[in-house]
Amino acid sequence: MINNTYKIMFIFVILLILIIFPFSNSDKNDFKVPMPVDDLSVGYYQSTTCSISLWEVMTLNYSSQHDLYFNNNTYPGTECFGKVTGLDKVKEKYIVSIGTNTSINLLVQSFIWLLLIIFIKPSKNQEEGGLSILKITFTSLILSSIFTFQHLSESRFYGRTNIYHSDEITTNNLYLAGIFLIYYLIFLLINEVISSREKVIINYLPFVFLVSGTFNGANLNIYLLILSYFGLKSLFYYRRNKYLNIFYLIFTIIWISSNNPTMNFFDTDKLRGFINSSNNQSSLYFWIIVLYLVANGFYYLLNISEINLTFVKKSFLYSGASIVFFGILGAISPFFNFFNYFVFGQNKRGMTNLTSIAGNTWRGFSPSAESIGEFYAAIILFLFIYKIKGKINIKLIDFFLLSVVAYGLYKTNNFAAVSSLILISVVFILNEKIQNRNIRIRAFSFLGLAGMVMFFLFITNLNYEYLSSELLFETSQHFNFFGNSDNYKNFLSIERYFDQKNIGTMLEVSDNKVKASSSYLFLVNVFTPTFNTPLIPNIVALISTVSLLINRTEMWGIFFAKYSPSATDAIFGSGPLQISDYLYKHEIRLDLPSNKLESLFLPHSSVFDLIIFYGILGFFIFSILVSKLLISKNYKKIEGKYLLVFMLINILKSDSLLYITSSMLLFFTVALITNVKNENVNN
Amino acid sequence: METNQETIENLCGLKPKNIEIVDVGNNPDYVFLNDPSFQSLNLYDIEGNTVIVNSWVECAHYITGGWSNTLNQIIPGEKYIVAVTGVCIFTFYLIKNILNYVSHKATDDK
Repeated sequence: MINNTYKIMFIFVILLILIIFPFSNSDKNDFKVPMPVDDLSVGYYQSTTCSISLWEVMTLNYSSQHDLYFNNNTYPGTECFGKVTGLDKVKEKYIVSIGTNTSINLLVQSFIWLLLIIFIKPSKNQEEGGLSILKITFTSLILSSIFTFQHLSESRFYGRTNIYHSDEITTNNLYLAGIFLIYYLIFLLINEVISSREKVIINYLPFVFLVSGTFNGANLNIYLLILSYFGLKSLFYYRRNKYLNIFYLIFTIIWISSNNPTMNFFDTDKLRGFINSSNNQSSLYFWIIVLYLVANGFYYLLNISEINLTFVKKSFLYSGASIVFFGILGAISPFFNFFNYFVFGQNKRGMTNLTSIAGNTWRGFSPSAESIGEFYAAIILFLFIYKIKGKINIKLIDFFLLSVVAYGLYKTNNFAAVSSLILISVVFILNEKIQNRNIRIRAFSFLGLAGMVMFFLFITNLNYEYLSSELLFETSQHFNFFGNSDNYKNFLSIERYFDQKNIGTMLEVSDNKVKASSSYLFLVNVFTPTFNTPLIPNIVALISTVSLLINRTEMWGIFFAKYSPSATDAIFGSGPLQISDYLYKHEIRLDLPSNKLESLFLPHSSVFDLIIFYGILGFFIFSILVSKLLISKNYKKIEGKYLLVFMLINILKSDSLLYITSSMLLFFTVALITNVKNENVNN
Repeated sequence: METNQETIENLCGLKPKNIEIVDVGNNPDYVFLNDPSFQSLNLYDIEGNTVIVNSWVECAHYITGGWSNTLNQIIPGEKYIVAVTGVCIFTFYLIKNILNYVSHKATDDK
């Protein structure tokens, strides 16, 4: 026990050193002293770069910290790490840039996160996951080569974020040598830290929402490294999934053969760490390989993991509550805001105040309000279901943490997550508590009938004709069909054709068919069939109605305007995490206020995300697998099925599958269905 | 600012009488007047940029802004990274081998 306490204290001290030392280190003999940050010192800080540490500025300006914003600048060299690289005044804020070199980040951040994993108690049979030194070396060599390759394939991204970046393949390229050695060291440590914990690590998976794990300045996430390690280990030394490998191989051949490299570049924005920034052949190879390893890594984890519900409960609650705690801390203190970003590996800076809009999303810890709302609602649903099933205990401290989580959910303003939480909870209670089959059927019939009546009222109130064509109408506004610079004139021109039910004629005007996206042309074809099947609703009309019902018409309209795939791309997708073609290939004219034109418009439905990456066929396979999980009698863990349905409802209207944390949560719900091994409350 | 004043005088010489340090802020249009009695000096910033100063005021201004009379070699960070990670990897294997040896020896002794 005492040994354990010392061990924890020792790790804690090292963690503090790793976090504080790089930002407090400066040459005290260089006569460059910190000054209070104000109008007079702007010039001083602009010319006195890479000398004054963040710590020095922090301590001197503690009382006026609310006038400051600590910006992270990943570009400067190692000599500037943790030091001020510039100061600018923007409006009333002083933007203090702090050097955080990307190469050093890879080292320091991975050390921090791997040290956190050491807090997890290893599984009883520690030797089981271990590899021989030769196998470790071999695995690390392959993996570090793959991830070093990304610095060549996404050269444009890394060239912007690291002063040392060079994509010349020569023996003198110390940048690539350094990156390779960094990855090599990280994989050696991953093996050392994780192999003894691989069976139990899944119980701590909810902590991925607290520690997002995105390397500062890199388009990479620590979980990709860990899952790739599991994936390669599984492929080389353990079981492989035959079907997964065959399907992936077929898709890979098609992705590679149908790819048309372009100069498009996506700065990755809030998707950093889990998206392809470029559209070239080598970056496609990189993400195909990495996603293949990740898929195998998930498969490996599904097979070996031992879920302990009590640990899972604690992880959910502590992770959810910590996000609220650190989120508020980051919002009230610019220093913590900076450190939250660095220590937790956020892919966007955290919220800077607690007011509505800016403060309601736990931004930073999550790329989107939807994603974090789903997480908080999933925690509540998990506790509710497993408690009622008698599989977990809820103690007094848990109630306190639960109230913090509920506050977190409230602040996300995620109506969809709350309403689906209520809906699934009601269905669960009805199923669980009503033993009499007839009464249960009546109760569900009543619920279904109420839903249908509400749907009918919605349709009749808004007029079916409007509902069925609104999505197409919205999409039409984003093409430059009539060449008007005035959005309202365009609107009127399009409205005229829609009122006359003449969408086809509108497309014949000028070269409108060329301006329209292929997905839009397809929708118009389906919407205006030559033969009408009675009683069967038109699929486009149905999607349009649903989009209005869940407030997604505008976003899905933009999606169909932008999405213009070839037939092959539509069936097989563009490849894993290949989004730049979707974002930039088809030129459109967004019918939006000018201040929104430069925003990132994601599809706002994970179904569309899947279709972009894996095509309709990929989505079809995904649907079959999910249906099998839900229907098959081989999987008897009904509680996990409720959570999976909850997740599926939510990702229908959010981009959560684009975020690695939410994807891992979805994977976790699958694991809850397939392999809960320890269901005893007392364990 | 005591130290700064000392540094300025070390590098630019003693402050001439009747001269005040001018705060030019960020004004790009400000022009320093040449002082024929001041011996021109080369100053460098951290990135290796060079400026020739022709008056004590100009010299003081640049020194305050962090420039100095020595050209600092920009640290070859890539070399450091290769060296540090190389040493870490070597240490890792060394410790791993020692631990393996110790555990094997312990097993053999049993």
